Order: sequence, then C-alpha cells, then structure tokens
Amino acid sequence: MPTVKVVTLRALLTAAGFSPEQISSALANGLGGSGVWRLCTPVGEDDDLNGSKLFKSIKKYVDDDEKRSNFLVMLTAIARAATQQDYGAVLSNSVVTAKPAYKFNYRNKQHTVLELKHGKKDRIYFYPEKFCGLPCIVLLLAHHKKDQTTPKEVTTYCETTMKAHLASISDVSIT
Amino acid sequence: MSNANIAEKIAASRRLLSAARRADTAFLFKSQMIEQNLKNTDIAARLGVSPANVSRWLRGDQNLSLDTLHALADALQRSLVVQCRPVDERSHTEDEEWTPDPSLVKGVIEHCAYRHLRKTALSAREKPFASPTSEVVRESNKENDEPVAVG
Repeated sequence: MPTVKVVTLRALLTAAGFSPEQISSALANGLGGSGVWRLCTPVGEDDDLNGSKLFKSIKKYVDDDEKRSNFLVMLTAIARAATQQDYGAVLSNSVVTAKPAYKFNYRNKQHTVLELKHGKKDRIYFYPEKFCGLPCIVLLLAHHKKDQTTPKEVTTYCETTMKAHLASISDVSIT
Repeated sequence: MSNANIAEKIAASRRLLSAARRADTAFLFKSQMIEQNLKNTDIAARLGVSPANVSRWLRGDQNLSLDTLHALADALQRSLVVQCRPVDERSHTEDEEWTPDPSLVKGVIEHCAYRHLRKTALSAREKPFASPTSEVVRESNKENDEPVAVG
C-alpha cells in the first residue's frame, strides 16, 4: 500500500545541509506553519524520510551554497503557497515558477508532473493530490539539471510513483 | 564568540538566506492579498503607484525598503511587525500541527468512514457465513464507539 509522509521544512532543510541556526533564521517569519495544503513525500514500508527518494535526491543534488539558496527559495515559495487553496496564485509572476515538467497518460486521462524552478538549473518536482480528502502537495524529487530536458531518471520515477498512487488512491495512507 | 567569527557566520548565512528572505516577504504579502481578494491594481490604487511597480515589489527578488514594506502593509490594512529573537529560538508556528480548512473536515470524516466500511464489508464478504451488514456495524462501533449508518 503506497504511503506518503508529511514533511516539515526543518527536515527538508536539514537534509540539504543547513545548520540549525540557519534553519531557525529561515523559518523565523512564521514560515512552515499550518496551511490548506500539506507538504508530503512518498516513503517506503519503513516510513523513514531519510530513505525516501526525495531526501536522497536532496542530499545528492543540493550540495553547494548556490543550490542550497535556490532550494530554500523554492521551499519558501511552496510553503507560502500551501497556505492558500489556489496555491498557483501565490506563485504567479514571482521569482519562483511552477510549470508542467512532464505529462503522461494513464487510464484515459492526462496527468502532469509539475516543477518548481528557481535559478537556471535547480528544480523541485511535485504534484498536487487529495488523499483521504486531504489536499497534499507531494514533493517527488529535487534535481540540478544538466541541460534543458527533464532527465529520464526524473520522469521515470515521477510517472511510476504517480501511477502507483492513482491506481489505488483511496488506499494511499498519510503518516 | 568574537566579532570576526560572527561576521563569518553572517556572511555564510547571507549567501544562503538573503534570496529566500526577499522572496518570503513578497509571498507573505501575496498570500494576504489572495485572502482579501485584492489585485495588484487595488494595491496600486491605494498607494498611488503604478500596477507595474506593485508587480515588481511582489515578484520576490527585490530588496524592499522599510517604507515600501510599511506601505504594502498599510494597503492591506495590516500592521508590519519587526521582531528580534535569539537565533536558536523556534518560531511558534514552525512545525505546528497541520490543521485542515474546517470546510474540509466533514468531507474527510465521511470519506474515511466510507473507506473503513468498504474495507470491512469486503473482508466480511470473504467469510461465507457472516452477515456483511451486521459485521460492518459491529466493526465500526468497536472503533468509533458511535453508531454508523449503513446503506
């Protein structure tokens, strides 16, 4: 049974190598409080965030100060956007763009993987979904692109994960 | 800690945090505007500036002056609060338990009750001599301690 786990900004920033002081400073303005949308990520049976694809991708790709800065801006954007039902309205005409990265067909319907973009190459891939009636922004992967195309490793993982959720959406549990 | 050490830490933090601080302020104002159903043109009219100016302020990459921040807060009929706290003190909102929009709660409860009933009914169907309906009601009452309407 697929499981998604709620993630805090503190956990995401820790995985990206921010110090506790820097995290406290970044979150000092009330960032990371409650919202309409939950930020979460798929986890395995062990329910361990550190073993999730998202956290592994953060550790792999968010590995210098410029990437960390871009990553923090994107997280700030999505966390503020998550406080509003229409999260896209918060992001429109802003320094962070949210746009379709990849589309695929499943059960006669087109589904879209979205990307948050800040800087030329840094991305966070996600998709919005309701699990058990709860609105969730499912963070899938962080990535530092080498060229303009969305890499195969990203599209394959995102498509497989979304299909697993869509196949049994009422059975996806949130922890 | 010496001033030199603190200066080093500040420089490191500035590299990491300054872009996010600018963006966060803009997103905070935009969220307020959405909640109050205000457009850039409304803010521009209230402040006597052009909508393009407001759009630039709210893009999230500008180092806005204190005057501009206060003007934006005034346009939203809000107070701008500047606080100084120890750096290791957690924000009171950080990691707070997520609370859903109250309008969603009813739907969620109904949906979860439906899922529970469906699962119990399916497992009851696998037991050939059990009555699925009574099984469902008994199982549901056991967990919720409340009567659950079936069908």
